[in-house]
This record gives sequence, structure tokens and C-alpha cells, in this order.
Amino acid sequence: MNKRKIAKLSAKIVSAFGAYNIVCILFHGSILFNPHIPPHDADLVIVLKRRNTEDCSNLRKMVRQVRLTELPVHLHLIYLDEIPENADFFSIHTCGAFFTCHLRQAESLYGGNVFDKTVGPSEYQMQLSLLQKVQQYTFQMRNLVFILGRRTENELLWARKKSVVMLKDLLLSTGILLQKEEAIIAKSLEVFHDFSGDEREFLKDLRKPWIKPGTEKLERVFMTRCLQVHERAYGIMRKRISEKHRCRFLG
Amino acid sequence: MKPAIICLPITIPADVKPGLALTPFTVWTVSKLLALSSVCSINLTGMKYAGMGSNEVTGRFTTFKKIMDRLGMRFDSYWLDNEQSHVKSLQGYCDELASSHCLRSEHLEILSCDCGAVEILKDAVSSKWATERKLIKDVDGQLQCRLCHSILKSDASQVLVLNSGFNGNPITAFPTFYQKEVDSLQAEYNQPVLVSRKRKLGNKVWLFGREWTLDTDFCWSFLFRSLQKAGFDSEVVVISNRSIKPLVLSYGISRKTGANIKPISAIVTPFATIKGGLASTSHQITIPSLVDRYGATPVRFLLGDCLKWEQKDLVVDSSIIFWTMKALEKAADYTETAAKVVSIREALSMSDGNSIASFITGMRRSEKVSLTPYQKLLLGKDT
Repeated sequence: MNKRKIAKLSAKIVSAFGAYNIVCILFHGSILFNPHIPPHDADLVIVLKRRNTEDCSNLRKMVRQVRLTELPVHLHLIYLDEIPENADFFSIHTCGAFFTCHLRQAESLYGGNVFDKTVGPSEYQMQLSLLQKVQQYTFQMRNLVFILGRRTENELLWARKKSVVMLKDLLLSTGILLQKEEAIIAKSLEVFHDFSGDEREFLKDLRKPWIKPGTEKLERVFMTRCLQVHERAYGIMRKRISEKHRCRFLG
Repeated sequence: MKPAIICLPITIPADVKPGLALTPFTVWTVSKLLALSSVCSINLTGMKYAGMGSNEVTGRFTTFKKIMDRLGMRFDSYWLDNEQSHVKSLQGYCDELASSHCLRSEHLEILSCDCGAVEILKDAVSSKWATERKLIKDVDGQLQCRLCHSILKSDASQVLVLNSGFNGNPITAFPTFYQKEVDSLQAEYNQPVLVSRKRKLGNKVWLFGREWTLDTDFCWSFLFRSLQKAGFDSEVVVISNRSIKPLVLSYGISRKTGANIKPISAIVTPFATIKGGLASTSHQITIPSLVDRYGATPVRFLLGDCLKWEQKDLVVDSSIIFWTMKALEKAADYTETAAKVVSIREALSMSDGNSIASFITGMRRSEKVSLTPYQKLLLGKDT
């Protein structure tokens, strides 16, 4: 699936739902920003003015018709009256207020990006939502390392991708919003000095083209290093939160 | 002819900072308040884009337009100095200037550097109206180019020069304290101006039996004439207080072409520097990064805060964004005032940056907020 196919799907959606009913169609995620990396899914946000109980099933049919079956379409259907003017009150799935900033960087396939018209989020909600996201990824990663047996390639790719996403969230907490993996890794190494020499080398290696670790032992090493990056990023995040927002952590 | 408010061509850098957006912001707000067509002029040629491919240059413009759209600032038209219709008209404009003896070919001494950024008449180097003076530095009595650091070389050659003499052109400045500067610059602009270039790249014309490469700034200086051809009567021009000289030159050249270019009002914006202060913008402050982080409305308030008309240079604290967000947390009941704006003076008074703080305080304290037309624009209620 590529940008051209996504644009084709977007045109279909506009003609089926009617231009009058569509506020905007936004395209975001790795296909847009990191096309060189094997994607998990194609991320689309569709903002409609009016509700219809058939909306979801109509969209599903359209995705099928356009034959975008190589990858799942990660679709967020949002109605205009659900978008708060104050971004503090916005969330999608497990992404809190910070996600508005991410969506403002999306490519608009149709209409103007409605999230530019919202305000915020506040600094407090921004940090809180990012902390929660970082916590979620860390716990998922610990769980993945804990599980016995060989890893699937998808699991390994997930761990790799989330290691970079952790850095992206960490940078966002300092006011830097980057989307390209190369730039995220380079900026993180420049801004955060807490990463050890080994961790820095591992992060630099992540910039190289993906090669699946050949043995179970190498898979374990790879996953452990991903977890190290997660733990370090989570640690930096806690340190920042406790310094700036008077939040104390036990221990 | 559509009466219009315009700006001088903006050169688009890789990162669009708030200071750069101040001119288009003023074009947009005043055009709405005075019901004038808005034209945002863009410079896409010249040394600032040296080494860039045409796609990359076009990309700069596309990105800039996108940023303006994100801010809710939509213009009736963009004027680009590389538009074919304009480039094709250059020969005609130069013919007009040559036939009225405003343009002539002369054998003169010029000073030039290695990179081509500096090319200036030797006699003009010490005059304060020479636009290239900012590119030249004096090191131990030797003149150097600030960009390539080469020592300027003197060389006598056949060049194309423009008779300036812009004294008395009808420019009315706002705020009025800039009028003296405008008038004195117009009076001083009475020496020959070099408008041809030695380098091969650039727009070309055929005059006095040979081909000439024209200076980029000279080419866009026909702006007022070019806009007239496109159906816009430029009534108001917005410039930063660093651009009075280019305005005098551009307006003067456009009028010399013989076309009936009407008197103009010039709104001169202060030169604003944004100071940090936001918790999460410890890094470079650009318009896209601010809109990504806070949305368009707080950024419009930041730009509005910069327009303190009684000041020439000012430093604005970006924490105005924080206070705007605080004020907007509360869903106030907005009503409209019946205020109508009929003059530039009124438009500037209504948009004075000093009133932003009290507007924010009013929004935080009151349940019902009465909005002026300008405040409606700031809140995005008219876009």
C-alpha cells in the first residue's frame, strides 16, 4: 500500500459520503513519514459532520473495493461534534491529549486539518498523556521480553518501532515534534545525555536497514536492547516529570 | 480593477519564524477589516535560493502557503516573481524605461565579489541608499563580501543603469512617525542604480543592441505595475520597518514605467523578536512548530501581540500563548460589536498589540465577551 492508493481510497470516501459531509481526511503514520520501514498498517483519520449507523460498514466495504488488502487500514472515524475545542479533552484509543499535536502534522487528503482549529493541549495534559503512553509501551515491552520461545518478525519489528516511538514521545515532551525515524534518533542522542554508550550504539544501529536477527539468541539480545531503550526513556521521562510537575515517585 | 492590500515579495526561508509571518498577518487582517482584496507577494528568485532546484524552490512556496492556510490566513491571490506572465512583461517594462531615458547603457566602474552577491557601482558604495550595503563590510580599509568573504574587485564594464529620482512620490506612511523616513529616502534616491548583472543566471532583456541579465530585485520592483496588469489596484502596502528602502525603489520604478500607478498607503510593521518562555518550546520557535503544538488561534494571538504600532523594534514574550490558552479554556459567550472600520488609522488602532493582554483578561473574567471585527479574526470566527 502506498500514498497513491491511500489518495484513491480518500477520493472514493469523498464521493461516497459527499463532500458536504466530510470535514477532512487525514493520513498519518509510518507510510507517510517513514516509507522505507516495513509498515504495520495504514493510518487514516476521517472526520464527518453527520452520524449514520452505516458509516463504519460503508467504510469497510470501500476499503475492500479499492483492494487495499496488503495491509490493515487503521481507521479512526471521528464526528465533528466529538472534537473538543480544548485539546486537553481529546483522546484516541490509548493516545491522550498529546495526539492532537501528532494529528496536526498529518497530511490532509481532503479538507483543512480540523485539529489546527483546536487549542492546546495544556502543558500539564501534554506531559501526563505522554507519560501514560511511555508507561504503556514499557509494560508491553517488559511483557514481550518475559514471554518464552521464539519471536515472530512482527514482534521484533514492533519492538524496534516502539523503541523509536519512545524517543519521539520523549522529544515531544520537550517541545520537539519529529516524525522521521532518522531525525528522531539523531535529535534524541543530541538532547538526552542519559543513554549509555551501548544504548547509543544500538540506537545508531536502528537507523540501518532492517535485518531480522538470525538465531533465537540474537532475537533475545535484540529484544533486551529494545527494553533497555524503553527503560532509559521511561526513566528520563519520570525525571523530567518529577522536576517540572512536582510529581514524586516511590523508591 | 480590484482595490487591494499587498506586501512586498517575501523571500521564504527553510524555517518560517513568527517575525516573517507578521507582514502577511497584517495584510490578511487589514484586508478583512477594510474589505480590500489581499495579495501576498513572494520572491522565488535570486541568491537566497542559490543551489536549489526548481522543485525545491516551488516546495518552499507550497510549504509557506500551507502554513498560511493552517493559520487561517487565506489571501485572494499570491503574486510570484517567477510567474511567466511577469517575466514575459519585463522586456516591455524595460523598453518603456529606456524610451523615457530612465534606463541607459554606460561604461562604469563596478565592484563585485566572487560569489556574485555583491555587484555595485563604485560611486555608490558609500551612499546610504545603496541596498547592497548590508552585504559589504570594511576590513582594514578593504571592502569584503559578507557572504563569500572575498575582497571586492574593481572592474570597468558596460552596464545598465537606472536614473532614480523618486522624490515626491505619493506614499503615506502609517504609523505617521515613519513619514519623515519615507520622504527623506525618496529625496535621497536620486543617483544611478545598477540594474544589470555580470552573472549568466537571471531574467534577460534585449536593450541597446545587446542582451542583459537583470538584477533580481530590479525584476520584482515592477510589482505595482505587474499587479495592475493582473487587475489589482494596490491601495495599501504592508512592509516591515526594515523594508522602507525596497518600497521606495519598487514603487518608484513601477511609477516610472508610465502606467497610472495610484498614490499608496504604507503600513509599516514593527520588527519583532520572539523571546522564549513557553515550557515546551525551548528550541527554535517556528510557525509550524507552534501551530503543531498549540493550534492556530494562540499563534494568531502571538502575532497580534507583536503589532505594537508605537514601537519600531520590540521583543515579545511567547508566554502570551499560554495566557491565550488559559483564556480559551473557558467557553465564553461571544457577541459581536457593531464596530465598523473605515480607515487604516482605525484598523491599526483596533489591531494594536497593546490591547491583546486586556482582551485576554476580559475573556478570562467575563461570561459574555463582545468581539470587535479584529478580535473575531484572532479567534478564527471569521475564517
